[in-house]
Amino acid sequence: MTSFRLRTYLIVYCTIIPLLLTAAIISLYSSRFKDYAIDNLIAYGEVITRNTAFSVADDLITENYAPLQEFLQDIVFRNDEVDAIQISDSQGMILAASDVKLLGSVMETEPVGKYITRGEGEYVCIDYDQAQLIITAPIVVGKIELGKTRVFLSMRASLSHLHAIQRNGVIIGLCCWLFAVAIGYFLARYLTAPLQRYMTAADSISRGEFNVQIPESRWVLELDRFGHTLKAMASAIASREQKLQDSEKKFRQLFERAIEGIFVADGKGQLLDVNPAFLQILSAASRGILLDQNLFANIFENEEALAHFKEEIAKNGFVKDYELTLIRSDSSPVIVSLTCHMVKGDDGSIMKYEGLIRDISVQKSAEKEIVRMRNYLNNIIESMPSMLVTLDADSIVTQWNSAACRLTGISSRDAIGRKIYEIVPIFSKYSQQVDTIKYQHRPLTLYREKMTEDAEHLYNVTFFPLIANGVNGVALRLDDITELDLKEQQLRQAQKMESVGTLAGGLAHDFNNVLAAILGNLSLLKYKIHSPLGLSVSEIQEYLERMETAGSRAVDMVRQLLTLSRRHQMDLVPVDLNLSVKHVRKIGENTFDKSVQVDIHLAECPAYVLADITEMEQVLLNLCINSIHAMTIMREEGFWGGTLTIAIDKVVVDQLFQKRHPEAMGCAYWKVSVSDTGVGMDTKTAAKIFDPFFTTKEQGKGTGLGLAMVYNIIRQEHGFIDVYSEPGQGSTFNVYLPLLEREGVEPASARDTLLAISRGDGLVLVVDDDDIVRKMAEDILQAVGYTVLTASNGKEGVEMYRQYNTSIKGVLLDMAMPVMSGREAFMEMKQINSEVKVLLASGFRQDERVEEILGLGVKTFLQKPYTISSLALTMKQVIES
Amino acid sequence: MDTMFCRSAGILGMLLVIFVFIVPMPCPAQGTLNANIIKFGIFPYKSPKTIIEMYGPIATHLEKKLGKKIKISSTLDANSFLEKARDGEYDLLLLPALPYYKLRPSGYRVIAQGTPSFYGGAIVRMDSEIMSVEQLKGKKVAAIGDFAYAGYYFLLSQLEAKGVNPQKEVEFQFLGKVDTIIYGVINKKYDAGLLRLDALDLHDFIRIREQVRIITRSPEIPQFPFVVKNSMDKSTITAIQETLSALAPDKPEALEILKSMQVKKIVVATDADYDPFFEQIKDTDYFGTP
Repeated sequence: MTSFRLRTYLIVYCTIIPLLLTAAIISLYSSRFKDYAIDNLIAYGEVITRNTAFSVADDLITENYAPLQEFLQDIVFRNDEVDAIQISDSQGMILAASDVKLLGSVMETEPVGKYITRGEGEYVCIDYDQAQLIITAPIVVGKIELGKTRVFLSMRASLSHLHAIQRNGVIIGLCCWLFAVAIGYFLARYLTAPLQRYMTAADSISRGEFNVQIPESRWVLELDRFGHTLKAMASAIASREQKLQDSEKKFRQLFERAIEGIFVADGKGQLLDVNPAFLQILSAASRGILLDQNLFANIFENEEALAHFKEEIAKNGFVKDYELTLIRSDSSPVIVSLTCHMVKGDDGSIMKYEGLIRDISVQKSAEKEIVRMRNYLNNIIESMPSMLVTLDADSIVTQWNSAACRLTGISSRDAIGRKIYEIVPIFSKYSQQVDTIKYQHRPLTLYREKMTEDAEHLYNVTFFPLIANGVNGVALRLDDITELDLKEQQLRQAQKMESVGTLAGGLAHDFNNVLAAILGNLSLLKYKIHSPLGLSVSEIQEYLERMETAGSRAVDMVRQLLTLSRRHQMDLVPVDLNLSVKHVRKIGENTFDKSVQVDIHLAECPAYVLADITEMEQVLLNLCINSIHAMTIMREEGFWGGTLTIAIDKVVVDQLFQKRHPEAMGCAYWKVSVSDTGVGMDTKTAAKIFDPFFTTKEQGKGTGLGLAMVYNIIRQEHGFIDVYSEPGQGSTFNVYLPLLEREGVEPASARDTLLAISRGDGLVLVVDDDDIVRKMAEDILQAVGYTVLTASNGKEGVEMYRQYNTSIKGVLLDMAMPVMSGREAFMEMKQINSEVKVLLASGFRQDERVEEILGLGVKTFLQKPYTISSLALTMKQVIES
Repeated sequence: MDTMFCRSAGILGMLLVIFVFIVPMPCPAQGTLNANIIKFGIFPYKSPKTIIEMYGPIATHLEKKLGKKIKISSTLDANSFLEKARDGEYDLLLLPALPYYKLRPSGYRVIAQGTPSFYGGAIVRMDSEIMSVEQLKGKKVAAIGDFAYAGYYFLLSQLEAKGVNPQKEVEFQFLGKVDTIIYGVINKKYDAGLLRLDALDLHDFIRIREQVRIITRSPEIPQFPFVVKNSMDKSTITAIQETLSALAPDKPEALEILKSMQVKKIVVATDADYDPFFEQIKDTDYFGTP
C-alpha cells in the first residue's frame, strides 16, 4: 500500500470535509425549506378550503349560488397565493368557480401531480409543472356530503426562493473549499517539522540511547505532550531494562540455589543447562560433564523406563510428579519425582524439554515405613480379643476387626461402608450414646451389657470419641467380661466373707450376750418353778419377754450376716440411702470398736438412688470398716478411738462440680460421706487405694479388695467416688450416686411388716427334722385352732400325706431334712395331689434351693425363726389361696 | 395611486364578469335534474346546517331503499320555501302543518307523519310574577315566527279569549329559533316565550327546564307531515311510505334516524289525518285562506 506524506493527508482532509459538509448542509437545508414551504402552503390552503366549505354550506343547501360565486371571486382577488377556487355539488358539477367559464362543467376528478392524502376525503396534489398545489376537500354537514371545494395555490414564490438558496449555497461552498486548502497547507507545514524531530529522537531511543535530547513544541499541546510522553517512555524503558536485568539475576540465583534439580534440554534431549541441585542429585562432578550428555541416553535406568517416559510425555506434552529411577554418575540409582514440559515449535516439532527433578528416596523410604506401621497397627487391631468398630459421623462403619467378625458373623467386607444399625440391628439401642459421644467428645463405658435378654455373655461397651480428618466419629469396643464377671463375683464373695470374718468377733460377743440373756432367764424360771416361793404370772411374763427380746436380737444378727454373705445377681431397685445407712449402723452397733463414736447425719427426705440394696450396704459397710480400722488397728494400742461420721447430702451439678468431677453426667446426686479422724494418708497412697490388692494394713489384716469392690459397685450403679485425706488428720470418702426422683414408693429396705395373729381350723401337717422346732410349730398351730399331724423327715411326711391327703388342708415343710429333703417331699406330695398347699420354711431365703422349689409350685415361704404371728398368718394365707 | 387604480379596476372588471356570466346563467340547482333524483324540500324552521344534520340520516336511508338520489333542499325563509313549493320545485316535502294548510291547494298531499303529536306552550321564568295568559298583557313575548302554530299562533286565540288584543296589547318578537327564545326568557330579555314544548326535553335544555314555568299550552298539534306532489308516481309514493313506516324504534339504525328527526315513529298518513287540526284553526283570521 502506497504511503503519502502527512501534509498530503492534511490538505486532502481539510478540503474534502468542508466541501462535503457544505454540500450536505445545502442539500438538507433546501429539502427542509421545500418541505416547510409546501407544508405552510398546504396549511394555508387547508384553512381556505375548510373556511370556504363551512361558509358555503348554507348556500348550497338553500341553492343560493349567486352570493357563492361572489364569495369565491373575492377570495381569489384577496389572496395572492390562490390561483383559482371551485365548488361542486355532490355529483361533481361545478356550481361556483373563480373562473366563470367552468360553471356547469364537471370538476376534474384527479388533477395531474403528486398526491398527499390528508384524511376525511381531503387530498392534496402537487403539480410541479404548473407550480401549483391543488387542495380538494369535501363539504360535509353531519354525515351528508353536499359537494367539494377545490383550491389552486401557486408555488412559484416558494420555488423561486428555493432556487436562490441553492445557488448561494454552491458559491459559499466553493469559497470554503478554497479557504480550507490554504489552511491545510499551512497547518501541514507547521505540524510535520516537529514530528520529524521526534522521529529522530525515537530512532536514538530504539538504539538504546535513553539520554537523548527530546525536542520541545510549545505551541501545539498534543506535540508538547507527545514530547513529554516520549521522554517518559525513554525513562520507563531504561528502568524496565534495569529491572529485567535484576529479575534475570534474581531468577538465576533461584535457579542456582533451588533444592530441586532444574534442567533444560533441546528437542533431542541434549542438556543445555542444569542447576547445581541437578548436579548434586545425579552426583555429577561438574556442569560440563552433564552438558555433554543426552538426557535420554545416559540417565534413565533402562530402555524400558525411557520408552515409558517418552510415551507419557507425548500424551499431554508434559508429565507431573512422574516417579522414576535415574542413574547417578557413580552408577548408583536415585528415585526422583520428575515434572517436565515439552516445548513445541509452530511446526509441531519438539523444541526443548524443561523440567525439574526432586530426590524422593527418603520420602519413598518413609512411605514404606508408614505402610509397615499401618499394617502393624492393623495387626494389633485385628488381633485384639475385643470387638473394635469405628464409625464415622453418619454411623457408617469404617473399621471392623476380626473379633467383630467372630462375634457378629459379618465379614469386614460386608460391614465397612454400611450403617452399623443396619448390619447389627441390636446396636440401635446405643444410637443415643453414639450421637452423644460424637458431640460431647467424652468416652463412655456401659458395664455388664447383655446383647439380648437371654444372652449368657456380658460385655463392657466402651464408646470413644474419634476425631480424624475433621470428622467426628466414634470408636466402639466390646469387651467380653463374662469370665471376668464370674471371677469378680467370686472375689466379691470372698471379700464379703472377709467382712463377715472381720465382724465375726463382735457378732460372737453379741450372740453370747443374747444366749446369756435367754439361758439366764430360763435358768431363773426353772429355779423359781421348783422354789417354795413359786412363780407368779407377772414374773413369768417378764422373763418370757426378756427372752423374746434377746431372741429377736439374735434373729436380726443372723439375718444381717446372711444378707451380707449371700451370693446374688445385681438387682437395681430404688433404694433409700437413709435406710441403708441406718441398717449399716445397726450392724455396727455391736461390731464396731467401742472406742469409736459413730455420728449419723441423714437427709431430711428419702434419698432415693437406683442401686442393689445389698451391694449398697456392702459399700457403706466396707467404707465404715476401713474408717474404723484407720482409727483402731492402724494405730498403736492406747491411741485407739475417734469419730466416724456418715452424712447424706444432695448435690446439684454446676459448672464447678462438673469441672472437679468430669464423670458427672446427671443433674443432681446424693452424696454419702464417710469421714473418720484416723491415721489418714498422703496423696500418693490415696491415688492407689482403689487398686485391687493394694493395702496399707498389716499383713493378714487386709486383702486390698474392699475399696476396689466399692469402686466397682459404685461405677456399675452409675456413680463415682472420691477421697480426701491428710496424714494424721483422717479421711473422707464421698460416694456420689445419681438422684432418683420418686414419690410415694416404699423403699426396698422397708421390710417391716406388721403381723397379726390369724386363727384357723382344719387338719395341717408339720414336717421338720428338728424336734424342738417341730414341737414349737405343732404347739403354735394348735394354739391358733388347727389340728396338727407331725413328721420328722420328708419320707415320713409323704407317707402321712398319702394317708390323710383328703383331709390335710396345708403342709408346713422344712427345707433341709435327712432321709428326704423338702424338695423331694414336695414333688412326692404333688404327685399324690397336684393341688397340695405347702408352706416352705427355711432359715435362709436366698438359698438357690428355695428359689428352685418356689419355682416348682410351693405356695409361699416362711423365714425361720418364725413366731406365732408369722406362722399363723402365713398358714392361713396358704390354705385360703 | 396606480396600484389603487389597478385594484379598483380589477374589482370592477370582476364584477362585470360576474354580471355578464352569472346572472343570465340558468341556475344549475333549479328544478329536478333528472328522474333519478328526488328533491326533498324541508321547511326552513331551523338553520340550513341543522336541517341537514336532522334530516340527512333519513335522506340517506331513503336513498338506500329507493335507489334514487335524495337531495335535501331548503330556503332562507318560509315565504321562499312556499313560493318554490308552489312552483313545484320539490318532490317530497317536510313542513309544519300550518304552512301545509296553505300549500295543499297547490297540488300536494300527505303520505306520512311523525308521532307523537306535540304541544305548543308559553314559558316564563320560575320567579316570574306572570301566572296566566291575561298577565301577558303589555309584556314582551318571544315567538318562533308567523308560520308557527306552536310557536306563535296558538296563543293569539287564547289571548283574545281572555280579552287581550294580541296585536296591540302584546309585543311579539319573532326569533326563529327555540334556543334563542329559551335563553331570551332566562336572561330576562323577554317576559315570556312561545315554543314547542317537546323542545324542553332536548338534552341541551334539561337543566334549564327547571328554571322556567309553563303558563299555558296549545291544543294537540300533529307532527310535521311528509308531503308529495300529487303527480308523483304511485310506486314511488308507496316505496317512500313503506320505507318511512318501517323505521322501527327497536332497531338501532332506525332509532338513530328517528331521534335525529325528534319523532318516535313515522306512520302512513293522509290529508284526512290533519283535517281535524285544520278544522280547529280555519276559523281564525290569522292564517288567511289557503
